[in-house]
Amino acid sequence: MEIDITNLETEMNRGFLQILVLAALEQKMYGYKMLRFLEQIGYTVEENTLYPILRRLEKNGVIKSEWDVSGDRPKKFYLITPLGRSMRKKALSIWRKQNDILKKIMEV
Amino acid sequence: MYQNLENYLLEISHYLAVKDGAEEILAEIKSHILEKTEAEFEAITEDGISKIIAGYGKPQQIAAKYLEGFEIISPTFKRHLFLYTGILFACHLALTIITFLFHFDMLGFPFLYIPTMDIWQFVFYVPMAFIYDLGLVGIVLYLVTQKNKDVRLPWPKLFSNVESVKEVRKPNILFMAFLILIFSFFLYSFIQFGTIFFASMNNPGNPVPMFGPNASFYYSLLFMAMLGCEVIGYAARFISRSSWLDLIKNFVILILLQFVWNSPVKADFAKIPGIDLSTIAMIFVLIITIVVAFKFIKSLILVVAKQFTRKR
Repeated sequence: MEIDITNLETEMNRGFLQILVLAALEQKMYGYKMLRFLEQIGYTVEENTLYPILRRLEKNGVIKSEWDVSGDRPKKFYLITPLGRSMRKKALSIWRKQNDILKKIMEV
Repeated sequence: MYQNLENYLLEISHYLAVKDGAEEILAEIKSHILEKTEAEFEAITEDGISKIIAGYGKPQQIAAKYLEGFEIISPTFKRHLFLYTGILFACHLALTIITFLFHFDMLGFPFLYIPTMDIWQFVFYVPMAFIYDLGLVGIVLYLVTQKNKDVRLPWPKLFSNVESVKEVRKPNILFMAFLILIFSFFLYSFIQFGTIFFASMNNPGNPVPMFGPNASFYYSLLFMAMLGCEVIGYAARFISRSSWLDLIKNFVILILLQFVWNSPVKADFAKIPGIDLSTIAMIFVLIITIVVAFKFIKSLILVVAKQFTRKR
């Protein structure tokens, strides 16, 4: 019997996606471009998952946004804030620590 | 203007109960769908938009993702909702029974109004009262959740663990026999004299009934029905000691008592010098009513307590 790990994957991705977004937003990007960028580096995420996360991060002040209305259509661009960089640093530190712990267990 | 896109966004907006920024969320979704349509189909058409919308997800699901962490009532208050409703309903029911039996309106501004009711109105009022209490507690918990969902709400000690909830007492065979004996005695009296209430027993062969024939028949039948309920309720404990049995038994007795308080038959008491039989009878029925109402409320709380302690 094959076990369904969809829920586990969703849970794991939720945290990971936040780190990815914080890493990607060193450059100013809008949602659709970010999706394409993440796809290119091998990470597929549903659009209806990405946008709510962007909104939550913005609400927490770790990213900021602005509407660009100069083109054909208005686009909402996102960029990391200093608070976001600090959060990314801590998040990466937690992620590395978790990896180390897992490695130790798997080596045993 | 693309009608299918506007309809889709409109439907999302119906579910998007965020405090602020709903317009911005919709604008971003719109921008994304148009951008993706253009990228995948080279031009923006209604057909292309429909295909992108199909992949974007159902409006409810989209809105739900934005609403994560914005619960109407915190999941941690779920048991409080039912427990508080149970307690409130028990009190509400007690007041309803009192107003029902004594025929008066009760007004407790601004949340309580219990009108004078007949038996059928009472039967329909009780489930409505439950829904009302559930709604009231729901509103309070909603406000608490919005204010501070981490607040610690009180949990009455009675509901803390199964051990603290008293079981329905084990039945006693001697008491059962005693109850049957009493019931048999009343039954004999009813068959023999047409009543179980007597004003005087000075002459055991020919006792003086407390009421005239009609009232004697009516009240005797009601009190025997009540005693019958007690006997059956007690006997049922040999099979099951469920609190539900006590609850149902006391409820039926309360309904019977209602027919005593609101009797269509005039209680024509026998005249005995120096004794006011009507006052004595009223006090007697009042005491029974209070005791049964108290037992009913107690069994109702016990039923609620058991439901919750079992789940904890």
